[in-house]
Amino acid sequence: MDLDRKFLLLLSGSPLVAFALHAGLSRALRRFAPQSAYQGVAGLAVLLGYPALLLLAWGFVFSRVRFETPPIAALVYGAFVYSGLAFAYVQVYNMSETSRRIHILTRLSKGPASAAEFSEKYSPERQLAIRLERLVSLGQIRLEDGRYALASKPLWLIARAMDGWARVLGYPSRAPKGA
Amino acid sequence: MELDFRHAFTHAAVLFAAGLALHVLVWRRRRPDRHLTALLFVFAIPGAAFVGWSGAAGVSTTQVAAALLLYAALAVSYIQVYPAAQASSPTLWMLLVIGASGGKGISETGLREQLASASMVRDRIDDLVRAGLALEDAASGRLELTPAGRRFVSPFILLRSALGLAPGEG
Repeated sequence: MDLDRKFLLLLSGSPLVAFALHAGLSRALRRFAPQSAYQGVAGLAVLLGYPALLLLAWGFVFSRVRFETPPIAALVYGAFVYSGLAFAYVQVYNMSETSRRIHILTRLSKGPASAAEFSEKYSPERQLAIRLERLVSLGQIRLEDGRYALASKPLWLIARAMDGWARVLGYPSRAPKGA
Repeated sequence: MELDFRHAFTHAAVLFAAGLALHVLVWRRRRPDRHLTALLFVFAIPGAAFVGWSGAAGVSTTQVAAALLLYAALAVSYIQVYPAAQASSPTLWMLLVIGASGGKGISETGLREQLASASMVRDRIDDLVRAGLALEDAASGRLELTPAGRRFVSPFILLRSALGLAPGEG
């Protein structure tokens, strides 16, 4: 197999690197710090995947080529592909953590249930409590004197961008007036 | 290495832009019921057209694969993000409400009042039934998984099991 194909094959499998790191970190965290935010662990695993993938690419591909200049284009290309695939992996993981649809399907995989059971489980109070706790633990919002305020802007900016994109696609805006 | 990565970037960017444009056109004209299947199909069209074009233009298989791999990475990222735009993610919605409250913030009671008016479950169940992933008995309100639903959810169950985690809270 030529080196180009080997490089592409390695990149195709790159989400497995993120997954392996995530599994290791997640299991270690569950054992030593069970109260930690698990979504942050997925992000950390993806970040650690960059040097891990670079080492793999160096060992299997780049060390076998004599470059006159550093292979910047190959590295940038590899970083883009890995970023895209790893981002998709994190989103799949987030769906398994936070998506009501996945949670409903997971519950139904154990047997039939009534719609009322889900309405009860997903009561507004419970939904609010779980999400507020998650956002506080991720440092996105802070609780001061019984009131929640933004502590960091990146996720809020994503929320605004998503709302804007929803409108481009023809969905109504969900943002409160003034947001 | 003989790959031309600049070409791979250019081809993937053009393909992704074409996929997004097609997505917006189709969604604004008539939104499909089976969103994710339709989205996969929409993004497959530019990829298939590119394969056809590159065959006629004599582009090497490896070069085509490099462009398609980057295009696939961009497309799957977008497809994973799309549900948040489509179905009002409560987390993102809460951030919008908290952000709109400015520096003074908002109390949990204030958030709850706004959340009470939002449909938290019914729209998701309707989505699952429409997508053929669950069946609902209209008389009893009983829900059960279809074979397609079981195939769809199995990777998520396996993933959490491999990560050593209990099912998510939703």
